[in-house]
Amino acid sequence: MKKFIELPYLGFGIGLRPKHFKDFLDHSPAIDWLEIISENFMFDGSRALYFLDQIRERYRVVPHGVSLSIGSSDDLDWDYLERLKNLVARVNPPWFSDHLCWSQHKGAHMHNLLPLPYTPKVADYVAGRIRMVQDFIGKPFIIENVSSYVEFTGSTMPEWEFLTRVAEKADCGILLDVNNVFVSASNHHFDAHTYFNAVPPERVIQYHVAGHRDKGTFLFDSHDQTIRDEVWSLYRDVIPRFGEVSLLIERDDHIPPLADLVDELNIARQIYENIVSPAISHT
Amino acid sequence: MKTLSPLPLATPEAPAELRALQTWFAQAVTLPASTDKAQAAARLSDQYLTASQTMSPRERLDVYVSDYWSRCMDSLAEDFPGLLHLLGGKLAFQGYLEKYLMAYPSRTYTLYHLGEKLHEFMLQNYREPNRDMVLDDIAYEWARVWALIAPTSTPFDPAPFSPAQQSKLAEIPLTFQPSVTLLELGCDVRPLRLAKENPALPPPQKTALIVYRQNHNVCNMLIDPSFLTLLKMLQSGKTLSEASPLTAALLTPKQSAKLLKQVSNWFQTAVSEGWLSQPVF
Ligand SMILES: [Fe+2]
Repeated sequence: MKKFIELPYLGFGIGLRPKHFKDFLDHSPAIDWLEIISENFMFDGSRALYFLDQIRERYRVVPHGVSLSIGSSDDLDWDYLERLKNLVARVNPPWFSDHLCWSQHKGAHMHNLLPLPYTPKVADYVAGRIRMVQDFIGKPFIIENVSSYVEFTGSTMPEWEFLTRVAEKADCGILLDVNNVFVSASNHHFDAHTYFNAVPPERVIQYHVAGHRDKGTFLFDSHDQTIRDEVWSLYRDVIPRFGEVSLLIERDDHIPPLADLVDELNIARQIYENIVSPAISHT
Repeated sequence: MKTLSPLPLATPEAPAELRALQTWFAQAVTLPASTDKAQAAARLSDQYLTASQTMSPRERLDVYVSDYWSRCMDSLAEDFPGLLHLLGGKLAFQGYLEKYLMAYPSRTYTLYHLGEKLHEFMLQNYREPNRDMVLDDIAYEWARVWALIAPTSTPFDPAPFSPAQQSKLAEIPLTFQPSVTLLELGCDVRPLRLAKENPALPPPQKTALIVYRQNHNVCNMLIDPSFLTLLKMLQSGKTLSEASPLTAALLTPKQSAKLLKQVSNWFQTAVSEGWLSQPVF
């Protein structure tokens, strides 16, 4: 699968969390790459940066933001972007990412990944802002689909068409969160495969997989437990369509020992190898 | 990366309907459910949101409402565990903190800053008998958060100083690392945040404390009250030669003689603990 721009394939990674800082330095576990929550590394002189500087000498690190608020009707936050640019310069990643959402309004932050109404007008507005961000930071940007719990009466197109339009108009990549599609598909009663089949394969640069919770009347994207079989099964299904795509396991709460995450990563690796080169992995 | 088309000079104008939707959503989510405005916003759920097979528009909105409040409360409880004890547990803590967040909504993209104005808010609004202890505790717990996220300036290093510069150190203003907070408290509130539940309250006792960052960790040190006075004068821009006699003048002759003997030791402590920034001659 030829991608829309040439970017390296990073393999199988996990999100770097403070609990594991020392493990990475002491044991250098066999993990292909790491993702960091950008905002946690935007404080000069912080403990997090101190560890990051050592860890990035051994691992490829990609910044993944949660507060860009690309879909906000507020102006872009140039102070934030300046800090992000410094972080990107520090770790020199192949790309950087954030979410297709909004989290700030009239200067107040809601500290959540809030969904957008899906209309062509909003998609074009967001795409224009992504172009500005991408140009300012000077690295390829990839945008991630979020889990959602509401649908807006004002939406005129399905989420997969909205995501596609944003990515194409912005000329950016897509970070496809398989778990988020699963959660939203369940909450909004659509078929996850319909979503995946509509997303342009050449733009999908990275996957996220994560755990979620069943709250009875809805699924909640909690990132606090192991990945469910249904999500692994979806991952298995999408591999042929999207080809060689870097994968990352996200865990933000109830963070287990690093070895447990490495085990989960090996599940992903095994699934991928079984699909891509079954003859080799079955011998 | 591909060449992008020329950029617009300003941020594109947001579609009016997006702005209206976000105004509504932000009100519905960030105002405490008990307020009239939040209830009015929630009543509009049907207008903005569709139902799912299992949930009404209002129930779907509530997922975001409860997520917002639990995220903010968890973050504040993590930063101010001592305050949680002093206010009498989770419920009372939430009651005050809801009002606080209404008055001072989060203005930065990280949760670290969430408690930045809490001291100011409680100073204006908290009137219970343990007010002084509550305010002292907030000052201490916020100083700890601040020590974690404050920027760094070039640390004090005497190595490059010429002998002439060395001799002038007492005559120039000395600045502190941004992470340093000087606290003059009515009691030693430090054990409160470490307690599991219902901690014993600290007895009244004038407490001079400095909170700072060292080797990427948050540290604190009890110091002599005269040392704190001296440091506060330095922080206000006085030089060491100006601040020392001014501090001494506040003391008895015996204490003052002792202080003047200790100034050079204290200065060494300030340097070795990394409280000072590199001075400009
Ligand atoms: Fe994700």
